[in-house]
Amino acid sequence: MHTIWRVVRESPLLWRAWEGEIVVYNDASGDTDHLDPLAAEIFETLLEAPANNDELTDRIAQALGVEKTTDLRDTVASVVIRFHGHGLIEPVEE
Amino acid sequence: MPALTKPWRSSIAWNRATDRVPALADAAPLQRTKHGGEASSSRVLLRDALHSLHRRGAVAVQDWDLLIRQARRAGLLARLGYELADSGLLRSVPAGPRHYLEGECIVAEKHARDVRWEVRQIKVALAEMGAPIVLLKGAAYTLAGLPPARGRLFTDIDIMVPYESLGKVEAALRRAGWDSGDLTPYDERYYRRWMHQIPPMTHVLRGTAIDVHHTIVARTTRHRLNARKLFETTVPVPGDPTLRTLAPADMILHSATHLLNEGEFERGLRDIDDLHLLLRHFGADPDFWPLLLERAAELDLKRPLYYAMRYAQRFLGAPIPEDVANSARLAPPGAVLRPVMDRLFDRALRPTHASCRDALSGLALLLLYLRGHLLLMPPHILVPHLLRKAFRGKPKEPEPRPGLGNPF
Amino acid sequence: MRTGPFWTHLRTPIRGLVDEIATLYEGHPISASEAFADFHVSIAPPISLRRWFRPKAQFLADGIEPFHPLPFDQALPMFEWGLNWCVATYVNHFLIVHAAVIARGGRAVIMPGAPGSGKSTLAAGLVNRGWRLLSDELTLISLEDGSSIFGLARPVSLKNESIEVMRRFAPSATLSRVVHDTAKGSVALLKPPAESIAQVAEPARPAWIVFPKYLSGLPALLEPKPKAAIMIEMAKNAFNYSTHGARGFAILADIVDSCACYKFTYAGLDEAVEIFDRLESRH
Repeated sequence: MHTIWRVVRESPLLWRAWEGEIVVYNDASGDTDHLDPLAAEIFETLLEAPANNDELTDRIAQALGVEKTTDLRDTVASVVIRFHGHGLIEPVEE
Repeated sequence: MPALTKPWRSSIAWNRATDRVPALADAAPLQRTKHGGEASSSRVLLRDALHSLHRRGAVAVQDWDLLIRQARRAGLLARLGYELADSGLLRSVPAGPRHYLEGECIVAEKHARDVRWEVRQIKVALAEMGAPIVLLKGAAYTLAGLPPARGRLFTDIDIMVPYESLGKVEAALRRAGWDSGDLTPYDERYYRRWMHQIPPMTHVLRGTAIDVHHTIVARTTRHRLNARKLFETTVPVPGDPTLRTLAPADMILHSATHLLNEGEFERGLRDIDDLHLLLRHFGADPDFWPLLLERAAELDLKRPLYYAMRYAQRFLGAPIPEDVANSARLAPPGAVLRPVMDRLFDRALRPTHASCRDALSGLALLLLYLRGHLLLMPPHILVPHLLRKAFRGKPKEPEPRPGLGNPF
Repeated sequence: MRTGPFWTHLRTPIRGLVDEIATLYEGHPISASEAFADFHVSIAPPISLRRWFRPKAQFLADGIEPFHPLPFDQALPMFEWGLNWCVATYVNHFLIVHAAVIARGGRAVIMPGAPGSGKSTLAAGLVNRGWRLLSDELTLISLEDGSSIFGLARPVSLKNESIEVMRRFAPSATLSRVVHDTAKGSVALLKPPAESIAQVAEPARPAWIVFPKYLSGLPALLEPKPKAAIMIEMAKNAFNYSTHGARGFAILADIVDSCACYKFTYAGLDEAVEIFDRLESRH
């Protein structure tokens, strides 16, 4: 539950940001993803440094100027799961 | 010499007794007539070009237009591109053909990325099994960094697991999103009861295909091969202990059996080129050859190996040591059968392009197709199977659609 | 026959088809002795008993049959679809986007669009008002510099009502015979202006990406569209985007970066021409 996540190291990722959104390409999977502003913020946070879900929720609440509600927590959690499923992020081993 | 009653048999026995087995050095005369005599086989530009590149690192091409078309049909356009690049010749190919050679190399690189990703997904799906996964054919070549990986185009991934774990593997793949799709009851019986295989599965999201095997020769054939022997000698993939491939000799025998015994030659020239590359690669070590012969005998796959080496050398210039090629241990076909098979396989191992067909091509392919089926299954399964196949149509390609993401 | 960067070797016994092609492709180089052809196509009746009943035409690309045979009188549209199929299937020395592309003053407007978006009609209209036609279907992006756009200057495919619209809008333009009952309805091909054909070898620089949509009854509207969504749409509409991997991503991203991106709805060609003229003079 307190998994620390980081952007994948071994697959090269390419991305571009426009107007708060990000398009990211994963060379290993060949997939191209479109990240809305919330997902983009999570992605950029993890680019800076690994973080767990709590820290990500904090950061998002701050960046978007919103309350840290359970809804927000759940949304962040589902984006993290999606990122993991797409091979964009991975858990940091202990 | 023992007294023999049938004149036919006596000539073969005599050959064997005196060790006058037809030598693969016979390949040389065929080369000479190819350019002067048989007009049809001199139009197999692709085979000639590959042979020339392999043996001399050089090639003189008169008709790039036809060569590109043959290579594309044979699935060897990318490989040809890489071979030319290796010999430093790609730069000087005229722009028109060069664009397609380079373009296909880019496609092959994409396929290689896709294969690695797909293998990774398979690993994740089968992680709980605990047992290593044995990669076969293209996936093995790619993950192990072997020469046939270069320029290869993929349609599916083949893996091998122990027979006892087939059920668990199928269940695990299904949980991870692979599915056999809609099969007719006949197809289900064909795969499960008669061929003892899981039907090929496709991933519902990625659209990629996987074929799960438990041995390298179908159970219905007369080759009684104990698959456990194959598992005993698998080797790990460099850098990834959870993945394994067949031992080099087994890899060659698998490829040889698949090509020479199964009667399907859509990728015939590509497959014999793979064999040529494997033989050259592993054969660089002189200790390899006796191992290969011994294993062929042990697994009862001598005849396919004989043909594989013969044609890899004859058509593509594979360096087979003469004593290996001539080895009596391979129990080669006799002086009557051998030229017949030579003529049949000469036609089968050509690009399936109209320019490579001659008057006998149709017959040759049919005969080898029937031989393949006879070798594959006993008559009581074969006849209904062939009848079924005759009534199936072939779907047309849909219009090309632009796409995002990861199609195979 | 050469159309832009590609030589096509065509073999057909259908005299009428040859005449139609000669008219619509007038100006493109023809040669009987090219050493290398990019595509080898044939259109002929298939060998079957049906050839005397309702004759069909079969398209073969070097022996490969990508479509089912079609009625004889659809040979010309079949040639067009077949040639598109060849480019989309075999070419990888360009990044190919399913989009119309026109240009003025060396600067190109790329118009991706699903069938039915009206992009072909829009392209046809604009090239009859001073824009140069590169292509109505296939935008070719050079891999060498990642930004030069090349065209084919092939006939524009018009469907159903668009045919009559174009007759009125450009009465002097050459239109092929209308072919009815195709899979896409009634189809006619519009010959590109001679200058477009003459300039086919010249590349253009991408300056605008416009997503058109025909919406009758409403005034034309050109609105900026977010670039991230444009990038995804371009990638979805590119036949070989995935094949080119990281390179494909970088090229499309750079193009999206350097273009002004819009979505465009329109009901009439006159309005559309006006808006595009203003767009071009603005930048």
